[in-house]
Amino acid sequence: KTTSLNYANFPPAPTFPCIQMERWKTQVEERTHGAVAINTFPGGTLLGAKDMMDGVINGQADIGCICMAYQPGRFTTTNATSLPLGIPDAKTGSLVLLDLYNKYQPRAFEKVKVLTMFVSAPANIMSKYPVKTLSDLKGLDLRASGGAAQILKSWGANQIGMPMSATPEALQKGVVNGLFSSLEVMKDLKFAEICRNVTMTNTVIYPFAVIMNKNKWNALPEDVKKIMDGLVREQSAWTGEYMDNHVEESINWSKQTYDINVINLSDAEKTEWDNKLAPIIENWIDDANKKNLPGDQIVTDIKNLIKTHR
Amino acid sequence: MSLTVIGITGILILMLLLFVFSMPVSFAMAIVGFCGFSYIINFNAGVNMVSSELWSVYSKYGLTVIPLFIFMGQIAFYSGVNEKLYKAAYKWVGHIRGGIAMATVLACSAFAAICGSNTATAATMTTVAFPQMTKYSYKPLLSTGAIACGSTLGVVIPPSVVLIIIGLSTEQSIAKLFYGGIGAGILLSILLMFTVYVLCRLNPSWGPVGPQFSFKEKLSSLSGAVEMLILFFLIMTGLYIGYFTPSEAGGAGAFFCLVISVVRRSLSWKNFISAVKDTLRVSSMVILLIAGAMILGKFLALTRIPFNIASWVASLPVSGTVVLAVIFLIYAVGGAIMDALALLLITIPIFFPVAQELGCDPLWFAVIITVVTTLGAVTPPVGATTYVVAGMAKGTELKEVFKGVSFFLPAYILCIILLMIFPAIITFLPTLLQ
Amino acid sequence: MKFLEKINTVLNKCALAIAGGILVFMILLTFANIVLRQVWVPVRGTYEIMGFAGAVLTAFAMGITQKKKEHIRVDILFNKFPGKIKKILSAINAGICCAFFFVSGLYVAKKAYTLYEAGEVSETLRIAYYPFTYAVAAGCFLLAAVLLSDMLLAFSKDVNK
Ligand code: NA
Ligand code: NA
Repeated sequence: KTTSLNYANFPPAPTFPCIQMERWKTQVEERTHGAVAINTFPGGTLLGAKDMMDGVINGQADIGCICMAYQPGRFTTTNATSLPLGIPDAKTGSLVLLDLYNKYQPRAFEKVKVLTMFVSAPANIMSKYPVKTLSDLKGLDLRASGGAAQILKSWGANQIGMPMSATPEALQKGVVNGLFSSLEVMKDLKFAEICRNVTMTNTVIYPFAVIMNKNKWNALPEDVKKIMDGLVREQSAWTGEYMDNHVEESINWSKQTYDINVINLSDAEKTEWDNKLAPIIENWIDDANKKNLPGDQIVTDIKNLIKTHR
Repeated sequence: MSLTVIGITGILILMLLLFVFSMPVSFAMAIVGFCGFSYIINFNAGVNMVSSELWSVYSKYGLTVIPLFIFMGQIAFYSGVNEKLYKAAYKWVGHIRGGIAMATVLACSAFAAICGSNTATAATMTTVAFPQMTKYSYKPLLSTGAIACGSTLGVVIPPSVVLIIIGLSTEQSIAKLFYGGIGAGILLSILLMFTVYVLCRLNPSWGPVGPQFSFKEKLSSLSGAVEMLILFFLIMTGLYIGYFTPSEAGGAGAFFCLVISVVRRSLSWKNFISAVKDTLRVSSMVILLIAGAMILGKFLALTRIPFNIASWVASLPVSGTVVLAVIFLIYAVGGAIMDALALLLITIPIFFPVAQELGCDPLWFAVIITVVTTLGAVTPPVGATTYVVAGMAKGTELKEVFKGVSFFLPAYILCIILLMIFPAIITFLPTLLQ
Repeated sequence: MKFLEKINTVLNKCALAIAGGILVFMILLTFANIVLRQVWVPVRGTYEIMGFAGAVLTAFAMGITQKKKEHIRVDILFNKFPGKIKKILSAINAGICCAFFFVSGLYVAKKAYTLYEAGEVSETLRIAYYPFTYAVAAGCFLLAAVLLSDMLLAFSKDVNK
């Protein structure tokens, strides 16, 4: 008999969290030979971004995809991957995140079963005006989600938090002059039309997790559990790789279609930018220590894991 | 019971609560959504769904335009600005059959150009226009119908929440979609005004003809409209130059409107308080309606009826035009039973590839879908815009508003047919942009 | 009964006053943000604050809106029923809605507690925002109280009046 599971996701169907959802669905349905059927609900049709975690715990959906950065304070340990520690790409980041989770088994996830984890590609600056130095960035209004607020502030830019859906309009009207996010949006949301400059900073990534309701998980047959457990790492690497390819494609498209200007910081400049960010890491360590978490150790682990996986 | 049967039963119970028990529409939608969700999963899931929807709808930044725009309308009403504006309109177009109602549709288009939301447009325009139209002896049937339908222009003429959602979920340029919406919006407003004219031709008592005024009188009446013109000018300039976003225009508009009233000494403290009170009640009514529709939408999504219908249509072995017609029909009917935005989010990922396979221009498809779903905002039983108009037009029954709206439906159908025959109405401006 | 009415009136008046203050605050904040952005820097976290303020505004106005019977209803068929049936239907109606909003209020409060317990803070300002969630719960309870007195009223007075 078929077990059917509802899988909720919050962004629109063509985005990478939903692409990986469809891939996972196909894999599970194939490998269990139809014993499990997955119903997917993209675009927040079943659960919105901020309701995802509690929604899965309460059984509104059986499976859900969360972006941990949307709930600061809640996922302290795993959110450490979004510190400016130099994660170079999504594949490395995804495996680092998964290993970190496995090592620390944070309490934030004790009420759910984790099916996979992955990260977005690193954020870079897309802007109307070229940004080559910190002084170019000073006072520039950039759209970024809350997670990146501290970073932009340290560099002297103004972080403006607004929904992604409000951003194209705000860019057009000049309410913001650019955005700080991973580069696939240049093509996917056509930001290349307006933002003709990209400054490569490769600083921050956003960690995601796919979680499942504990009761539903416990009720699954053993062979199905085994198949899903076998997919955890594979799915993480697959998603990271997909994301990296997708970003590359987006940059190439933007270069060809809109002739965008890609700016790489000089080494001296890069050091100066990185130095500005050092206090953020220290603050996070202090904060983690206050919550009785081994802050220093977590940061060291992430740095080592980056070396292992890159 | 299969999920489909549960979904249909839910809709039937909704009808029962609405019509027999006369339960407030927003409450009924929320309660049916809650019960259905709980029945399919369990009580805990249902009640947590309701509480998280209430919180997330209430705290949504995008919805804060609603109280702000409504307040702007209330201030205009209590300070008598709208009265003067309609006096001027009466002197200029009152002698034309249905002239004031046509002017109201035009005012709705102008307001829609500022505001992205149907319901905020409806609430503001009802406050501003309805009492004035009644004063000039326009039948509520005509005036509420014109306001409700005129307000649907809010999502066709940019900025538009619906076009943004479609843009994000089909990866199209939102700027181009906005330009595409302009052509369709202008066509629809012309057709709505034309409907007013025809209706008043057939039933002269609905929109009585006023006397002809001399040019001098017309000119002097303009001094009364000057505040509203200044307000409109300030908002449009601010938007155009980029001083504020459309979402902020509500706050800016309310602020300017307050300043103008204070400077002209046209607003007493007592009236200010009344404006605040009315704004709060209307906003809470409107936002609770949206929350109710969202909760019901979660239940319907869970039954997978919208998904199933969409994949069924996608697999139909018929010609492209028929498939398109069925898709439009589903959006029109679907818009009648669930919130247009929720419906779009569910069905777009399925219908969009179908339309592309049929060789439709994605931009054209997006804009025409917007026009079709906007129809759903005025059709019963889940027709938020109509409810808002009926709730605010004092002394008017809901059935009268729905009846009034029904006279305008041919205009929508004609609009859709014209857009299918002449796709350039939509695609002309965006291609010019390239 | 009278007592319930009185408490309802007082509480709803307070809620309305607070909501009114919030409305004015939201207008000033939007305008301040627009102006400060031009001359200096934008007010940090405006989007967040507006959302939270809007939530409290809507929630606190729900009760008074029900009191004034301004939540839109369909009464085409309902008005054709005889007075006695109307009374019974109204009472059931108010009873169901009262229970619904009471339970919703409880669970919104539970949600607020979860936010507090998990230490969740807002994205930009990094402030704990669970008090606003509690305020929405309070709004639900106010509405439930108004509905309760509506239910009792349906029995004591003629709904035709
Ligand atoms: Na609009
Ligand atoms: Na409808």
